[in-house]
Amino acid sequence: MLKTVLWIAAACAAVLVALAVSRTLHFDSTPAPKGEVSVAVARPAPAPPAVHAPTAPTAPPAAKPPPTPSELQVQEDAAATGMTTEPDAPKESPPT
Amino acid sequence: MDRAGRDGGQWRRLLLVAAALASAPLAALAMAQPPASPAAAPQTITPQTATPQTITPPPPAAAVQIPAFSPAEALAAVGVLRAADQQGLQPKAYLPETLPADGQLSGAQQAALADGVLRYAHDVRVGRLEPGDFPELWALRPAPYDPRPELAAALTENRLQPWLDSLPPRYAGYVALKRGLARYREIAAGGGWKAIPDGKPMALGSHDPRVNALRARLAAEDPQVVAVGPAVFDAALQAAVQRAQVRFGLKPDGVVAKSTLDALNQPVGERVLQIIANMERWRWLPQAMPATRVQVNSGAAIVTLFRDGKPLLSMKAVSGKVGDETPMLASAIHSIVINPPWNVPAGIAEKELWPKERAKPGYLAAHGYRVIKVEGSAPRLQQASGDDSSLGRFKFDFDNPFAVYLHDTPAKHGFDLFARQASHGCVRLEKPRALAEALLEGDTKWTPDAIDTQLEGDKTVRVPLPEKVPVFIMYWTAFGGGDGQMHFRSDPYGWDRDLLKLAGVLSSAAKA
Repeated sequence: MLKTVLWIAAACAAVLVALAVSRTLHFDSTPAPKGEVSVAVARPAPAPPAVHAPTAPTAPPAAKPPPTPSELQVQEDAAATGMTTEPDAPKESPPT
Repeated sequence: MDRAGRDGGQWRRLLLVAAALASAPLAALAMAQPPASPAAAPQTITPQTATPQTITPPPPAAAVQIPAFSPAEALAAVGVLRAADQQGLQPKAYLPETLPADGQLSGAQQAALADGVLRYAHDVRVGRLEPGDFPELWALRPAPYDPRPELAAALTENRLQPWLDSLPPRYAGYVALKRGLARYREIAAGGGWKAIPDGKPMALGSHDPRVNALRARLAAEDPQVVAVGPAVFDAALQAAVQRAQVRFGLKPDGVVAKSTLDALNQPVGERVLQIIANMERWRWLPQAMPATRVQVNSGAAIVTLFRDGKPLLSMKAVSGKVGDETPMLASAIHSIVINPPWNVPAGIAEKELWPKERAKPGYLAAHGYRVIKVEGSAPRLQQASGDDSSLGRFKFDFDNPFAVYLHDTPAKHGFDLFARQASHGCVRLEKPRALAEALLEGDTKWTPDAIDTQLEGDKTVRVPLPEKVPVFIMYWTAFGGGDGQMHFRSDPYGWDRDLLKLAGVLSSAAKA
């Protein structure tokens, strides 16, 4: 009796696993239409931009807001307690 | 989805399910297998018989042989030793007396140069004090350093100059002092500054014959001040005085009274020595500081919390008074006590509290002290936690042999002073709650609300920190400020002079 129950349970588990695997393989998904791919390949590549073509002006990086009085005070106090690095100094890259 | 794709997918899915069904009996069979025989059980590991070994002591370390300096290396080394004054050291302490200009050294000259380089390397890396020179309260001491193997390797690997360049502390605070040393030596070489005569306080609008002297004195350090100007104390001069007062850690009221005059009249040579003393202290710090740490300057009575190498929070402090100096030390904060009671040290009880009780019976009870009887010795005092507790609401504990700690205080007026050396050695904090919250950030139990709840009562609780936070208590009296100028404090403990004497600098003060 126990063997039968175990047999049925194993069978059910196997079916469930198979169903789960089949879902991950996307059997139902639409394959990409081949025609479109070939059209895309056949399409002439866009002309490379001229070397000196004016590029669209990029927005300047947002200016860092000036430090608040309390931030300035923290910097001053940090100098008094012993600064080990320059304020806002870039971190050194690790040795290679 | 198109029909063909869907149909194909369904067929493939059915095939997979069928394969799974076919494999199910195999799985059942596998499950029906009898348990593994004992023979297949993991083998027991028989203990290996330990071969008796005789412990032989390691052979004595062979003395490191220093390779000979090539002529180019000899010249490079001499160049660095000649520039030792830039590091606040004295070149004559390291340079052999006579060396040929072409770097071709005899055997004796090779040995003398190696000796000078080794002593320089030691002094510029860990300072001139020997371990036995450190007073007890200077408990922040450098690790032992023997430069001999490094020099030998540098010469062998043809990298003497980079090694020599790597020796001084690379901290921004040290570099700022090095720049300041060069600048104040230039000022000294140019004749320094003249003292401003004593007199009545000068302030905005003063018509005082000393105004011109004041203007010239300020111009010696402050590039914004023009040395010559009207003989009246104008607004520009007032602003210059205020900037100077900030640099000296004084109240920036723009009034030139005694304390400001005293600071201005310190000779430039004294400032040079002060810078040299502080450069020496930088050499006692570890080669790499932990990115997150609490730093205390007991000389300026300021505390800063650094996180990820950047200052996150700072506050005024009150450090120990003369006679109860806050020691220099390195430790790690391991816990915060909320609502701490104060176990009064016997010395404070004897000298300060019992006399008050005798003079005015009931004093101790009125201030929340209770007497705890101790068998075989004098009773001790404990002040209950609460708003009136001398430790306030927070205490930050770290291991140290001096029983000092950082703590809150009910005496907030102490932070309004500009000379804040008034405690018995512990460090009182202006913003203990902010420090506690910063150290407990990320602790899901001790949120700000939980701290609030705890503070509603007086119940004492110790909160261990998830990770210990290193704490460094230092004594800085000269440092480069954010304004690019040198800032000085008054050496309240007199430790600059002690250090200069121990380092052998003061005897040659005029030359420094």
